[in-house]
Parts: sequence; C-alpha cells; structure tokens
Amino acid sequence: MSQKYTIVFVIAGDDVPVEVNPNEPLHVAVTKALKESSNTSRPRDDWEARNADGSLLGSDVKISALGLAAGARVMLSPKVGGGG
Amino acid sequence: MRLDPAVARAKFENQVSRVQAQRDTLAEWGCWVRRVEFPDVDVVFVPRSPARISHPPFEVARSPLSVTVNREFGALAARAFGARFRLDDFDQLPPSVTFRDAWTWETLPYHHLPDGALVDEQRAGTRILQQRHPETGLPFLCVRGTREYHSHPEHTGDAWVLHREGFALFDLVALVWRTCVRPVQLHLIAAGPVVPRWELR
Repeated sequence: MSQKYTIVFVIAGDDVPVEVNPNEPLHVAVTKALKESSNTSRPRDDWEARNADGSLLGSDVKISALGLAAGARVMLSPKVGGGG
Repeated sequence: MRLDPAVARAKFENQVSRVQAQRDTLAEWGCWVRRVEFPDVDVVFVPRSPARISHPPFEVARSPLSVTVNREFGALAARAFGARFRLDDFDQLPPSVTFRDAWTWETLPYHHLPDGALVDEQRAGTRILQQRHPETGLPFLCVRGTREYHSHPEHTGDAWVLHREGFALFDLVALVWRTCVRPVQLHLIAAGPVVPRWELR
C-alpha cells in the first residue's frame, strides 16, 4: 500500500492542495482538485495539467510515474487550443 | 464599458491578487509584474537560457540516416520583452494582450517577438503569435482566452462566453511564458530553407 501525500494544484492562481495516492492516475487527483476549487462547470477533459516546468502531464499516467513527489506543484488550466 | 465600474475593478483586483500570490513560481519562470494600474497589468518576461539552434534533420543520400544538428550559442540570449494584459470589462470581455519593449514599453513589432509556439499533446507545435490583428494592427496571440482571438473575424463563431468559465489572468501569464519564453529556452528551430540531400564523401 503506497503512502499518500499532498501535491498542490495551481488553479487560476490559487493553491489547491490535494492528498493523492501515487499509484492512482493523475486524473483522479485532478477531479478532486477541480471539485475542491468549485471548478465543476467544465468537463475534466477541458483542463490540462502541467508540471512546474511547463511540460504537459498525461492524465492517465500514475502520479508516481510522472515524478510528482510530495509538495509538487501542478498547473491546472483550461485548454486553449491554437488559432491561426 | 459593459460592467459596473466597481464590479470591473473588484474582478481586476481579484485576478491581480491571484497572480501576485504566485510570484515565486513566476520568478522561477523569469516573469515579473512590473506595474499594476487598472485595467492594465504589465509583466516582464526574461528568457534565461542561452539560445540553442536546432536545424531540421539532414537526409543523407543513399542512406537511411538522418543527421540532426544542435548548437548552443552561449553569448546569444533571447531578448526580454513585456506584455500588457488589459482587463477592462473582465470577464464580460476576455483580456487583451499586447507585446511591449521591456524598457520603453512601446508596442513591439512582430520581428522583435519570439516565435510563440503552442505545443500540444502530440508534441506538435502551432505558431500562435500572429503578425497583425485586423482591428489593432498589432501582433497578437491567436489563442482562446485572448480578446484578440475572440474579436478576430475568423473566430466570430468561437465566442469568449463559451470559454470564460474557469479562465484566469494567471493562466494567460503562464500561457505567454509557455509559448513565448519556454520554447526559446528549450531550443530554437531554424526556419531556413530545407537543406537538400547531403552527399557523404
């Protein structure tokens, strides 16, 4: 059984700490963070998660496999899509 | 003005406080808030790494090989620039983003701006910094969440009201960093002519 710990989602500039199980895929924690911050009007798939370096994080990948340790910060923002 | 001025100012201050709350993260990215005066927030973006030029792969004639050339230029740093985020009538209207000279705060011409590439999940890049907006005549970020995108004649069917929920100034500052600073820090892709097949001798 993996030890749970807390990572911090940054949503619209607010810190939203969420306790996570590192063996769960990221989307489980994303759903918690969105609910915690009352951002429930957009579907989860309309959001994208990035690490502090700006790299996109796969929502179906385990938190441990993404290298997100305790205290890690994850930027969660609405997907924008490019125009042109 | 579409919003009650007191409401517009309260929303502005709320957005600014959220950006200020992330000042440590922004500083790590090389972003500093230079000036806040309703309805504008001015942010300076400072690329940190030396420029690295990556040339598209060379094909080697009569061979399955291709050669990629990367070269770092230690003395060549990307130029700092500013961005003005205007939040008049936010969030009835999306924020406007204009690019500025970091010293004089004059608007910057397109050829002084970074590439502005949005990288998707498949790691494909889309250039979102466009040369001239038909209304302002200025370079603009052609991406959802900016006033310039939603007011562009090509995007009248993609209204801001469909996207504004959950959208924040911090996200836009992060987007400018991610598309206009971070790709420069990773590498510049040479946009020169495709090199003809390279003969091995």
